[in-house]
Amino acid sequence: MKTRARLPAAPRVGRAKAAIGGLLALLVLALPAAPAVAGDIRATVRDRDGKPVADAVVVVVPSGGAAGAGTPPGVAEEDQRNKEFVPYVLPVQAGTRVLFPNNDNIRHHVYSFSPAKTFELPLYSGTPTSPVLFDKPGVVILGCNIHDWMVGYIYVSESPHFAKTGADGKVTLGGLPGGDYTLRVWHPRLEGSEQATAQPLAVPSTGAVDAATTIGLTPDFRARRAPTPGRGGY
Amino acid sequence: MKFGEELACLALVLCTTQASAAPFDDFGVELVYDDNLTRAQLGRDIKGDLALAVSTSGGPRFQLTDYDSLSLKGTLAATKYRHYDGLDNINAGLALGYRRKFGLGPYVPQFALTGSATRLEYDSRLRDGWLYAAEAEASKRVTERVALRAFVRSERRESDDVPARVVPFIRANVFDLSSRSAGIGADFAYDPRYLVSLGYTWHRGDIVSTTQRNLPIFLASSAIAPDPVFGDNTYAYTMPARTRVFSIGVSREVGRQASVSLGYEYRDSRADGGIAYSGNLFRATYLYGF
Repeated sequence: MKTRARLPAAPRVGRAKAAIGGLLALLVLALPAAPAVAGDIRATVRDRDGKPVADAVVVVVPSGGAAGAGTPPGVAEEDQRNKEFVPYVLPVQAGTRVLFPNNDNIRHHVYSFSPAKTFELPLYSGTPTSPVLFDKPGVVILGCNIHDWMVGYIYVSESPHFAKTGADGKVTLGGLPGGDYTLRVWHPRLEGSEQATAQPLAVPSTGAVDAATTIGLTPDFRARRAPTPGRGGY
Repeated sequence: MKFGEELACLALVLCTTQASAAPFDDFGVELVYDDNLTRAQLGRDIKGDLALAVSTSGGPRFQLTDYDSLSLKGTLAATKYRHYDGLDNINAGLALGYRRKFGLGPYVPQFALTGSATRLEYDSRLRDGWLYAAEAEASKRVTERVALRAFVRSERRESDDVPARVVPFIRANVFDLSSRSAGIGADFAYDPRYLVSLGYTWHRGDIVSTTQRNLPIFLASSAIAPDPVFGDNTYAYTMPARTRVFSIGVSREVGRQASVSLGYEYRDSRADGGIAYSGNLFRATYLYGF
């Protein structure tokens, strides 16, 4: 009898353990799917006249100094279309490899003298087989030796948290762990240094914080593409 | 004619080896006012007119090495004058160009050689013919705002027909001309969109002045023929002269590929026997680059 009385008890304890284990397992499985404890930065970049600035790179780094882990850098593309670099500004994380496909029906000769990456892709059509590795943070100015007006920029960021503003001068950086950060802005025509734009920013664990930056812009005196009449002769 | 045929043959050969070329390089519309079309000295002979010109050019470019390129450019231009219909013309030309860049980047010096042959078709048969030109140009972008250039040019013009002589011992092919010129120029961008261009050209060679009978010009001329384009009893006189041309222009970029420009040109010619004329040219130009 006792044995009989005990016998049903044992399975009951086992079922409870199994139920708790199952719940724990479900909880563990459910954890990654739960809303992340992360905040967003809604950044706006304007010039001194109040006009939105497109193609500005907004970078945030934790105030502690460590850039933080992000997705591993992959392969990006800097295209050449209608004798222009597309995009005009390409922000990438240090360690990214960049392909330079040529989608024009003429050959281009891409080069850069920039300390962050000095390289040259002599005359080519199509897509070069080997991408170029950008492993040093900084700004890389691109040119084409056949078409002097072609200018492009690759911004190599030490931080995984960066993005480029659109035509409305706005960009959102999402999924940032809550905490204190420093926000910086860079633009091809930025007046002064990128460091001068640095501003502290507290990112909440959930929700978003707004960050507005005003920058000065220098004139863009790149080589002119439009034809000019009256070149000598009589 | 021979040079033109050779250029045409070369064009054919090059075109068969290179298929990737834009059909057009540029397209332009220009209004030009020349206050002394006749290149005349006396007020009674000076005639000015407004002209509308439309032009386009295009052709393949062959990038030989990273620094050297060869281009073959066809040009087509039509000009319509407001009053002097005889000056209306359609020109079609072919130019072979070689360009070398001495290094990498927009600030390295560049050198260009161009040879061209242009067919000239006017409403007045006297002016029909061929124009052959050879030019060498060196240029350099000095700073992001300033670019400099210098060139030398040689021209020869051959007319199709030789009219009957007016004076037995003076030839009548007034539009058989040759000249040499040298020039310098500078572009200054005072704003990212605005470019100011300055130019100065020395020109030594034949000019054609159309006037009524004129003894000093007759004595200085090397060819004479009736030129009814500017009225009855007017004659075209060919004479060797020294000409200086000063030009200034301002060009505004419209988008990335087009420009609108205003230009002014002052010409001053001097020939033997104290003959001198001056003229002013005003231009308004729209250009689109493909």
